[in-house]
Amino acid sequence: MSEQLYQIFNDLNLLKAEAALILATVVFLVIGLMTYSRSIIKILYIACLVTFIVFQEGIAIDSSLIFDGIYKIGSLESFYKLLFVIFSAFLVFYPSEKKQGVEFYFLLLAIVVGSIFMISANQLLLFYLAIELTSFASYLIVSLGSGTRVYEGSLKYLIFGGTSSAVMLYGMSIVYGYQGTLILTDFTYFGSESFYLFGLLTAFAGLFFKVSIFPFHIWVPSTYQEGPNAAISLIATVPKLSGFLVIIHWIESVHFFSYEWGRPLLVVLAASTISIGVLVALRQQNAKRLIAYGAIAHSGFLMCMILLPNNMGLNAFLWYSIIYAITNLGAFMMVSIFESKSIIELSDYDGLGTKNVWLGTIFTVILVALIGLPPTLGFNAKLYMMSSLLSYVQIHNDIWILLLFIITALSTVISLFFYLKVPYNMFLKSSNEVSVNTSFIEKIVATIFSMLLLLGFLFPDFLINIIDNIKLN
Amino acid sequence: MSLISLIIFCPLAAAGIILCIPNSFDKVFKWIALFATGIQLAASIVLLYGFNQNRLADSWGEIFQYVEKKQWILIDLGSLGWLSAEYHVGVDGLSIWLVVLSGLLLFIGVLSSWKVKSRAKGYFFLYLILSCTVVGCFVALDLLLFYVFFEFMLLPMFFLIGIWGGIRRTYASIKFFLFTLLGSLFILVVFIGLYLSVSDTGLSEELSAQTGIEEVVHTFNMVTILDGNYDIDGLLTPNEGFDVGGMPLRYWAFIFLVIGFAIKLPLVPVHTWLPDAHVEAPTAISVLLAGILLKIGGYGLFRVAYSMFPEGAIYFAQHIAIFGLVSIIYGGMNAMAQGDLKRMIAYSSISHMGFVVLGLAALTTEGLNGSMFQMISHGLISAALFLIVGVYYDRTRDRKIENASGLAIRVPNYTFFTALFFFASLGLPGMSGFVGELFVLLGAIGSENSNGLVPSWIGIVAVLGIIISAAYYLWAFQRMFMGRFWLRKPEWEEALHDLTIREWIMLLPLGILVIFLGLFPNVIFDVMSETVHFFADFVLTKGAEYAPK
Repeated sequence: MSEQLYQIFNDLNLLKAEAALILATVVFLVIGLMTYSRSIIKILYIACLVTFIVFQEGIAIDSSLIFDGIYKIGSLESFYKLLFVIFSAFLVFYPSEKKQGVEFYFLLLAIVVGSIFMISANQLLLFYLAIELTSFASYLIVSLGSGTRVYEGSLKYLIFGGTSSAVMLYGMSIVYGYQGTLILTDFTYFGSESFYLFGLLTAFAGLFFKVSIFPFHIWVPSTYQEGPNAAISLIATVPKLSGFLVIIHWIESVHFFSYEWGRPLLVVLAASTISIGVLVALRQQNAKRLIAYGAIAHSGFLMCMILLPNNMGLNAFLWYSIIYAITNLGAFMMVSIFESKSIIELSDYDGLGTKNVWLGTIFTVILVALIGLPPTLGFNAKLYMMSSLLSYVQIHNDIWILLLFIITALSTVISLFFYLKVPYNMFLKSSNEVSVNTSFIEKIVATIFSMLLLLGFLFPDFLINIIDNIKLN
Repeated sequence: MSLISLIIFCPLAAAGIILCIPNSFDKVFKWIALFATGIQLAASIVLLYGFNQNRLADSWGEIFQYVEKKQWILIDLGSLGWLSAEYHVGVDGLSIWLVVLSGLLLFIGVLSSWKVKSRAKGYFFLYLILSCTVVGCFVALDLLLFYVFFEFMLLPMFFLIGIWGGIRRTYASIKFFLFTLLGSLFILVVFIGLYLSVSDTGLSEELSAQTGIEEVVHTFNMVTILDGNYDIDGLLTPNEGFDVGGMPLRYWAFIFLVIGFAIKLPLVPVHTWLPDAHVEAPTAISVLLAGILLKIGGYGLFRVAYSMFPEGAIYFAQHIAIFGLVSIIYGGMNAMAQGDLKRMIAYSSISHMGFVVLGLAALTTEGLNGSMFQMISHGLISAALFLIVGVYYDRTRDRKIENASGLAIRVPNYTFFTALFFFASLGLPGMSGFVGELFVLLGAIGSENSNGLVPSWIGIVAVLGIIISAAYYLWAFQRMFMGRFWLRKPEWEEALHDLTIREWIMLLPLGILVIFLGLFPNVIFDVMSETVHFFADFVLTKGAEYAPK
């Protein structure tokens, strides 16, 4: 007994960064309620995130399971946690919207905490709690948007999200019934019992909803369009990436690829997600919706690397996910800068480039990275993804993956067409030649995003070193 | 910093300087651009001067001169092995002239954009970026580096056509971007396949010694690929037996590359972006487009498609020759039907680039030499022709052939240059156009008896192309310059004056070069002959070796 207690206390020590973040978040809420000054709230918000970084001991951590196997730590998890925290710190630099008091930043922190626990959870219950924390915070925060149809977006999100959570819980209970354990790493290959498979697929369906994989992507456009920009750019990156990491973990645990239909199923899902994303994006007239559909397509691309065996896809996934997060944060930031000057529809962007050359150039760089063209990091992401797909074809002679490869290549041409609409309207048209006044700090942060994309491409050593430090198990 | 890096990065540095100068100093930008491209031109001439044309070589590794190599990307991709890409540049006989040509035309291009007033900062910034990428394309010896330059060229081009172009500029720029991006994706797919099938043994051993486990480093290094360091079971390893749709994968790869570069070249039937882009682009950009960018398509066929997939080159020789022939005839017929002078020259470009493909397809020494020569000569002539159109357009804001006649009376110097370049382009003996086309036709007709790749009738029919081009040039010349002086609108008469000094400076060197190279073509041939010989032998022997058994 005492030994068990000793073990628990020992493990608590490994959890101190998470504990500090939770504690800081609670304190933040209490202090924040007493002040009306937005800048103090923003500083406190950053302070919370810094607390986590202070207590987190780097990323060189050996993989292990703590608390009787319900919590998983390792360099991969620590890396993503740090990444989430750093990315969410950038959100304070977004142009402020009306209803953003302390509760807004509290909810942002809640999403980050939930995502952090999601990627570390090795037990179904803990995982469910984490994903629900993220989801509830997300439902609430979306309704804080200032758009006219914000309630449509947030209600859609709530209803779809709630249903999918319920379905996922149902599936998880079936899986638990068959496996007899809640610990994911103790799962065994269970064969093709049809009810078990039904449970497994429903559980996965819930996860696919969180990462907006076709056909569970329908909530994305309205939610992204109506939600507050800072929150949306967080939802589009942090919980999504943690969702993908969970999928990677689950696929491994239930030996998903031992089913002969496992990989083809994911290939079909990835291919249709990409196609739906890029094809529907072609018809969009609203800048945020356009980026939302682009983000759906990017989910499909991320899926492409997940469905490869881990030793082939994971490295490319790391690259793609980091670059995806940077580009999306940058893109949403640019959109929100323009939106705060009520430039919302694509047609509102006409001719803006003449007076706002710098902002226009930054936005162009970010969009070029989203397309995946050189000289930006977006190209590296696409390159590594395509090479891992092709090398799988080379080794396994798999026609499914070859088809997927062709779809990823073609979708790049299509995505050029819609992403380029923004710089096209900005620079090539000339009707709305007003200048957009932005604060200096917003300009600087936006420039940092685009410079990261350019310099990361020219001098990749920095990122390479970081990624090499993550000991992949 | 060495010479080649200077040529690539000097405009980039100048672009950076332009970015830092405020808009109010808009007179400075063109001088900076002129200075940077001047350095490019001077450096490329120094490069040519120091180029050892007699270097004999047994392998591609020995051919390249001025080689610079620096590791750029080296990352561990898990069980895929390592990915290695280098900053690796150098020139050989195939690329040296194209570098010099680029230097010359980029310099002249700045002169012809001297009158750009609106948003001069952006214009010269993009122009300098373009200058960096086109030269980078010709000297890159790493597939990834090549691809990056190849692709990055599109963005400045898109904005240059889209912002400073004519009335339908937006349509033309989007069309240009989409076509070339589609082409470059075909190319990228093959590049990834190639890199996965080739490994750098030296680097692999070095890394294995460091980490203690056996490592495989896949590389984008062109020289490694050209020298045939394929893995045993690579996707694109010769004779590995990967078949898709009943055809070896390497044939597919060859087709993909040809499609990709044919779009850039452009070859009928993927040429439709070119006339639109040309007509809408500002004069200087048309000059670069016709003079250099199209050559990148031809150069890519030489450097990548033909050298890396020689068995495809042999297997598909006849098909490609026929596509070249169709381009020659169809482009010429279209040119004849145009009422717009610039559009006519754009179609004539398609027709003349068809000769490049025909000479390449024949794979005889004459054909290859002719093909390379045709690229240089067409680079000079088409650039000059677009300048000629620009001169007229600057004065009248009109390009219709039917809207003017008898110009010879009013603007004799202008007429002289027009006649000179028209005749050069239609292949009058004594000018450079004749030499290129003659050698291509010799090669194409002689191929049947020497290597048997291309039947003689293709070359014989291609002669028709020269007659067609004579027809449309002479007809256009007669309509615009002969007869009674007349202009559609009276106010044009005032604007119409003869060449200014700036225009003389642009046109005269091109005119002299066109005649000089027509009289002494050996200047060009001598420099590249060793490489071309090696290339011809390499493609024919390796083509037989790599052919599927």
